Amino acid sequence: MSKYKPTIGIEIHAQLTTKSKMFCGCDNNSRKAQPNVNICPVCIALPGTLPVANKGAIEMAIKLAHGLNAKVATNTSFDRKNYFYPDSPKGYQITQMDQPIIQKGHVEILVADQFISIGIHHAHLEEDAGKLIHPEGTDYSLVDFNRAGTPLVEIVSEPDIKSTEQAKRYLQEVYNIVTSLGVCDGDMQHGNFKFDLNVSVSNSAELGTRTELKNLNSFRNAERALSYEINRQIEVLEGGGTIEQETRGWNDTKAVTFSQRSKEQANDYRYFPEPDIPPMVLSRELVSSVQSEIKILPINVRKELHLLKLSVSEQDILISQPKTAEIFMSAQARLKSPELVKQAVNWLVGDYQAILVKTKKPVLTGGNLAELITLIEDGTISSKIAKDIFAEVVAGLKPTDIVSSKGLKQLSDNSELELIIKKIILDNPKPAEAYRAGNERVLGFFVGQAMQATNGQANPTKVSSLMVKLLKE
Amino acid sequence: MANLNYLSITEAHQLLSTKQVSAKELTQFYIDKIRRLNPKLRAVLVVCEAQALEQAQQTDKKLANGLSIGMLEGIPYTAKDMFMTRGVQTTAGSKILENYTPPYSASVIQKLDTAGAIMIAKVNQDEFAHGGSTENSSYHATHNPWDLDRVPGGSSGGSAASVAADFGIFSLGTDTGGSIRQPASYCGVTGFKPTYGVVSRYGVVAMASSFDCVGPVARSAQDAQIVFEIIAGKDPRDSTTIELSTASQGLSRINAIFYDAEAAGRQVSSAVSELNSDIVSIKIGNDLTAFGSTELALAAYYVLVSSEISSNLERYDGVRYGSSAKDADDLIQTYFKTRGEFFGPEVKRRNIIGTYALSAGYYDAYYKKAMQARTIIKKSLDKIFEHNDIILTPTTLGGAFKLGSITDPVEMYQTDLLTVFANLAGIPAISIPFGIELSSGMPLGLQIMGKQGNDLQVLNVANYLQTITNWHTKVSELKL
Repeated sequence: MSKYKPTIGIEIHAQLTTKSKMFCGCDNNSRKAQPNVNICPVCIALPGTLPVANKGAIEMAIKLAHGLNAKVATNTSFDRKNYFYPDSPKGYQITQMDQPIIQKGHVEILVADQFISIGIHHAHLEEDAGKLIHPEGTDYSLVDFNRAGTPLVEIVSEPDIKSTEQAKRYLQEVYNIVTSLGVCDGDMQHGNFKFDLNVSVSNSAELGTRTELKNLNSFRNAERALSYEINRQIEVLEGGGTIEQETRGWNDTKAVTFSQRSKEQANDYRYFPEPDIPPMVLSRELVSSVQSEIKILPINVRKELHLLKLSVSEQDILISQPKTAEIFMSAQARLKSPELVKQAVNWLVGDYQAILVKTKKPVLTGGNLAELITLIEDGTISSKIAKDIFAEVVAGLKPTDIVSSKGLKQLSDNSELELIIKKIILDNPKPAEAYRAGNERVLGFFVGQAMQATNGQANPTKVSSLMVKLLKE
Repeated sequence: MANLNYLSITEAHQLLSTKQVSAKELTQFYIDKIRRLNPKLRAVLVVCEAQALEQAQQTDKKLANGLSIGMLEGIPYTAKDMFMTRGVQTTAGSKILENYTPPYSASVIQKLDTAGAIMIAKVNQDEFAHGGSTENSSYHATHNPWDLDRVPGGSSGGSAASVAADFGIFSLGTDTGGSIRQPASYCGVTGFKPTYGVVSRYGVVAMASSFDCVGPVARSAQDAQIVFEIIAGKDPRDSTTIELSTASQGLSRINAIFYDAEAAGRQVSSAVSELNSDIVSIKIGNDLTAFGSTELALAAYYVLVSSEISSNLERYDGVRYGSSAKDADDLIQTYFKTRGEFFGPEVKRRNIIGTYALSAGYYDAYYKKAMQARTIIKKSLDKIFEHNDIILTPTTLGGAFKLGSITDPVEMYQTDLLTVFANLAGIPAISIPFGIELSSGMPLGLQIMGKQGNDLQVLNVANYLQTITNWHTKVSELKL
């Protein structure tokens, strides 16, 4: 065990799913667009153009504040971050420096069966830059401004993260929050959720010099890059060296971090208040009306599932599907015992997932799922029938309606069952003889016959006990 | 045909409405005049003849059909080259935008277009509005119609000169620190800078965003008001815009206070002292220290304005539009050479000042201090406004100076001394002709400043003073 302890702080950039861009009316979705199609005088910074802040982006930030257990700033404003680069059409990025829209907050993560809290320093709105394209074999570069002006939220954590595992859990939990709120589509492959990791190591109470690992876009790489960088820093220090404050990149193929820019080479961004957008005052009414649309948060689901003693990876299946999590939360509120809630989980991570793959628009509600489980529990239907009708329940039908319209109520009436069973025994003299001679394995055969004869509607437990009784007669 | 020289908007409207002159004739009259006299004056950068005549035809068609026309319909005007004009070259007086033709028009140009006004020319200015004489234009200097050896002032020098020389009935200018009022004063015309935010900046080349105002240059306060009421109002494309307050700002009884400035044209103060009015009562203020501090104001102004300039000019990088260095080997050379070659010296100077003021380690000492100074100036003016509706000053420290006579940039900055206050505080201010400098025979202006949002009161006072004096009619005696 190393005597060095890491300290990690994370900046996450999540692209918002607004209809239009951050400061103009251009379409915010350019996934399938040709280069430079979703552009206008504003987002390519023609002379004389002015930015107008997107109300939708502001509302998404207000939602996110709730997910991050953070306050929405009453007074919020934009600033300019100045730098020259061909992907930055104005020569500055509009961002938030002095009065970010989301103030202090925290995110709870579950590590080693313990909930720990990671502080959120703040989160702010800003705009993305365009994309540079370097055609191979040419001596020029091209710029695609479709992405220029896309709204981003940058979530800045406190340096509260103490291990690679915590870092990964934190990233996943924030990912769950932004996707479950629907403010980000979570498409990491396209860089819609990416992060910078600030890491230092120290063997004393004082913090070490940090390096920044820039532009990672997968949890796995975050984990690998952090492990590598922590070990590298420890090795440097053990070898008597010092850590340079610098920006480092991650080379996926070589699995190493490498120096990109030293502190001395860092840009002076000459921040100052954006004069084209007046400071905004966000009323309490606006905040509460926007936040009242939020149904559930991932942490609420996780805490429920944790109570059921489900493993983190089981929890993640549900949490990673915001709609499924929503069904779960609504079902669990209607179910009487932890056993039944656990059955709801089983349905959702089992049969439901299989149907999800095939169905485009599932309309399973928590109420219908709870009803189905209750019907099994009170003996109205068998679990086999339940499985048979589940697809219809997912398609939006009410379980009680299906049961009554199809006459699927379980056969539990003794005299009726006895008649059927007696007939089966009479029809199968040889196996009956074998049973009586001590071959108990044939009981399965008889139960199967009974279930078949009743189209699965017989109560299997009842069939089994009646069968034993009648065979012995 | 009626005499078309030096028409006011209402006179021209009357002639058009009564068909004493057609819009086409009126437009052609101005275009011919520009063609004839501009080689001497050099106020115009480009004449939009075809478009203007086509527009005039539409007005004439309406009149032929017996329809009535709006007040600005068929009225020829000129626009400073800061305004985006769709399909018409817009350079902001800079080589970096040489031959740049915008794909859209500024909101104010659109409003004037909708009102039927006819833009006949784009006029000269200091490059990116950096200057007070129009000598900083990357193309050529403009002359003062009163004396061709003198500057018209700036940066809206082309606007003021074009109205004074009757190249159009009014002009559209921009005012960041006095750029409408100072040239209006130097050219003997009326120039109005509205309350910050009352007129949209969308489509206007940005100089310093938190100071820039769009306003009219005209022959009278009455004309200025007609134009102003058309271009004012909230614009969804400019978040800093507000509606024009139309609350009663009448002339029941106006308390004004006049502050003279040392070395300022004495004739303005004597013209003011000769006023005798029951409606506007004028006190004489002690000295300009009541404004906070003139030195502080000018220093704060140049720090803040240069800071915003340095950021607003970053988009001129030779990548997407405008001039681009041809011989650059790589990206950084593209930036250096494009901006080195195509920006003029004053633009570079302000860029450097602004970049320095915003740099890490200097921000607190310059930008932040200047913001505090701006607040002090605002508060000082508020205090004067507690007891006064209107503040009067000479617009400038004297009449127009000779071309090439001021070479020290700081000395040039001093010409804004009395006008920057209105921009620092965001309040409305107008300059009206109010005296002739004895030593030079050049016109002098009186500046009328009002409370924030009291644009109409300022215009009403100016209009009233023009009904009891006749300084503003002097311009019509010019013989070019």
